[in-house]
This record gives sequence, structure tokens and C-alpha cells, in this order.
Amino acid sequence: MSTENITSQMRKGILEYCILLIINKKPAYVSDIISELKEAHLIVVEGTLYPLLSRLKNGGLLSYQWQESVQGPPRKYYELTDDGRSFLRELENAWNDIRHTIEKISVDSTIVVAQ
Amino acid sequence: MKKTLTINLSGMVFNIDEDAYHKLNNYLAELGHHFPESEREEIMNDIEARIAELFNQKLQHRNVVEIRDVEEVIETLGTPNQFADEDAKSGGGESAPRDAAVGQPGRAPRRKFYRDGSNKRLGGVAAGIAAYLDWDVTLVRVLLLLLLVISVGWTFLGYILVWIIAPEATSVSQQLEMQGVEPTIDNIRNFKPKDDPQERHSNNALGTVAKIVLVIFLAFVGISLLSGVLGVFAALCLLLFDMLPGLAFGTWEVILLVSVILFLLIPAIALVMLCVRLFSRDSRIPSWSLWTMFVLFLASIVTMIVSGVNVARKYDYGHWRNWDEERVERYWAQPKPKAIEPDTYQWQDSEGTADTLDFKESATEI
Repeated sequence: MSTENITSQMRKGILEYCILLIINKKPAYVSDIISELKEAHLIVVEGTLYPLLSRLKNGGLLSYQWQESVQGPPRKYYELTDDGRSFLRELENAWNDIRHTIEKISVDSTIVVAQ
Repeated sequence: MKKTLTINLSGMVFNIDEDAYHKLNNYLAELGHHFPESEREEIMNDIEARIAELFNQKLQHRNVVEIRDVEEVIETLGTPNQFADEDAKSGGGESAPRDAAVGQPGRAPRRKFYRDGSNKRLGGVAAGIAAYLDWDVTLVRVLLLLLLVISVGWTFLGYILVWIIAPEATSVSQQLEMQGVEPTIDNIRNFKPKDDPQERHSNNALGTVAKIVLVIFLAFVGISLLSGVLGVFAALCLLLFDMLPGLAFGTWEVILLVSVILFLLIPAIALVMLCVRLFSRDSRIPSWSLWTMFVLFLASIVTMIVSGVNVARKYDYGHWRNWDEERVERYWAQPKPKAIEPDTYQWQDSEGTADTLDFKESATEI
């Protein structure tokens, strides 16, 4: 039995959080986000992001601006709204809770998780 | 030399090879279906813009988008079943395991019965059964042959019936349904047809011979049936004018002949339908017509029996030529010819002959 399903679920769970973190640093467009995720070892295809970003925007967490590009049509650069920033802070809290739980359990566990 | 088309992606013009165009078109359609109505337009616009950008980057030293460019773009953007963004509402369909061609787990495959054209010897009936039951096709064939022997040939009729009634799985979605796989867009894309032209050909050698034999046999049967129909029809006409030897005009007699005509005609029509089916794969015979034919056929058998009994009761076929009675009487009423040599033989050995012609006593009243 492989861990594939579970780890895949885990990654999906943190995806939105990661995206918001990236956009929080500076306004970004899809390709930027993908490359940063890739550097952080979270691989998704671009097609995943488009509906996700669209939904976040529709939910009021993101806004975008058009920027002209020499490489083709104008690009959408996304940035966080105020709602987005408070949403991100909530997610950070949630993440910290989860991390805390795991760490607590692992310390008492006899199975050592390889670093 | 290839034909190119001109497309507009997000306000930018591209020349694109025809085959690349179709691939791109299909991909965009697939994506379109994947997204819910409310978000579709915006997402598709974003994606098209991105595709335009990618094409631009690739077309550094040339000016036509080729199929590999499209393939690379699809690789970059991903196919719907690679999207990691599904929410609970879109259902488990997109988070299916890698091997989409095998079908989704947890969804009970509901198979539909089709004749399997890719695996057929004669009509694909055995192959269709094998696909439906998930058995080995040779096993099915052996069983069918055994059944044929045991049933003294009636299985052959069953085979023909299935051949007429069941359609062949021609389109990809039909072939998927035959195997019990959901015909989603992904599965259709990933479908690899069992395309072994070699094997097909050798199958068809035996199959064609069998088909020819079958056609000859069916033609023979068909002609016999039709001539039977013609014959009985002629008899019916005679009957209507009361000129039919052996039967007098009456309701039961007419009913009898009509039911016999139906009894012969319906199988003849079914044979014609079978031949049509043999030569044009996609012809669909409406099931109501098949059912009416079947019902009429049964009715004709019943009617034949009933009317036949009623007619037979009327006539005493031990001496069935009672219609001739009048004529015969008139014949015997004629003055007997004078014997040429009255002493050598006597005309009146009418003992013997009179017996066979004497209907008066034994004839029953009509």
C-alpha cells in the first residue's frame, strides 16, 4: 500500500495556502507562481492554478492587474486584498496548529521520522 | 506540404498546422467541459492567453505552430485529470487513479451488450457475449457450438436473432460501454483500439467463407419462403372465386390461407432485415417493429392451427374429392357406351370401379 493517496491529499490541502504565501510576497502571475512552487518541491500543472486563482478572486481574496508583456498578450498579476491577508493569517494559524500536533505526537513516538 | 489555418488566441494571430489545430481544439473543448459554467469563460480566457504566450516563446525562428508545440503546451498546462484542484462537488471523477482507461473505481460498471466487431468471426455475437460476461471468447464459441449440437440447430436461430437485433459497437464510447467503462472524455482519449490488421485479416478469411455459405443458405431459405408465399397467395385468389380444388369458399378457409401467408412472410421479412444488417453496420432496427413481427408470427401460428382444425372438420379427407362429386355423378349418368363385343367383356365390372366413385353414401353434408 503506497502513501501516494495520502501525500497527494496533504499537498492538495496546503496548495491554496502556498499560493497565498507566494502572492503575499509580491504580485505574481501564473507562471511565476508555478516556478516558485516547483523550487519548493510542490509540483502542479498550470491548469490547476487557473480555476483556483479564479475562485480565490471571486471569493474576494485576490485582485489582479493587467500588465503589458513583450512575450504576448497582457498578463494578469494577482495580489492579495485585505480580506486575502486576513484569510492568510487564519491559514497560518491553522498550519501552526497542525504542525504543532505532529511535532507533539512525534516526540513521544518511538518511530523516528527521518529528517 | 501541410495546410495551415489562422487562429486568434486572446487577440494574437497564429498560423497553425491543420493537425495541430485539431489537437488544440479538442484540448480546449476538453478543458471547457471540465470547468463549471459559471467560471468557464474567465478561466478559458486566462488559459488562452497563456497558450498564446507559450506559442510566442516557441515561434522564435519559425512562424507556424506545429503539433509538437501543441503537445508541449498540453504538457505544461496539464490535462483535466491532472488537475489537483477538485472540490467535493465535482465528484471523485477527476481524482481517479492513473489508469483512466480501465475505468473509475467505486463506480459499478454497467455493461451494455454490443456485438463486438473487432473480434468477430461471423457476426461478432460470440465476441459480444464474451465482452459482456468478461469470458474468453474462444470459450464462448466452444460453448455455442456445443449448444448448437444439443439443441439440434435451434441455437443457430438464436444466433441469427441476436445478430439482427443487437447493434455492433462501432463508436469508441460504445466499445467502452461494452467493456463496462464509463465513456468519459478522458477514457475516450486514452482508448487504444485492438487494432491488429494482421489478425483481423486471417479472421476474416474464415469469416468470409462462413459468410458466403450463410448467405447462400439464407438465400435458399428466403426463396423457398417467398415462393411458398406466392403459392399460397395464388391459392387464396382461387379460393375467392371458389375455384380452388379441395376447399370451398368460406371464412375459415380464408383465415387459414391468410395465416399461412403470414407464417411464411414474416420470416422472409426477417431474413431481408438480416441481410440489410449484414451489409450496413449501423442500421438500427426499431424494436417496436421487431416486436410486432414476433407477435404477428405467433398469432399466425395460433390462427393456422385453429382455422386448420376448423377447416379439416368440415371436409372428410378420407374421400376428399367430394367437390368432384357432382361431376362424377353426371359422368355416371351418361348412357353407357355400347359394348363392341358384348360377350367378350362386360362393362359392368363397375363393381370395383363404382366403389371408388360412389360418393353418395359416404359423402357428408357440408
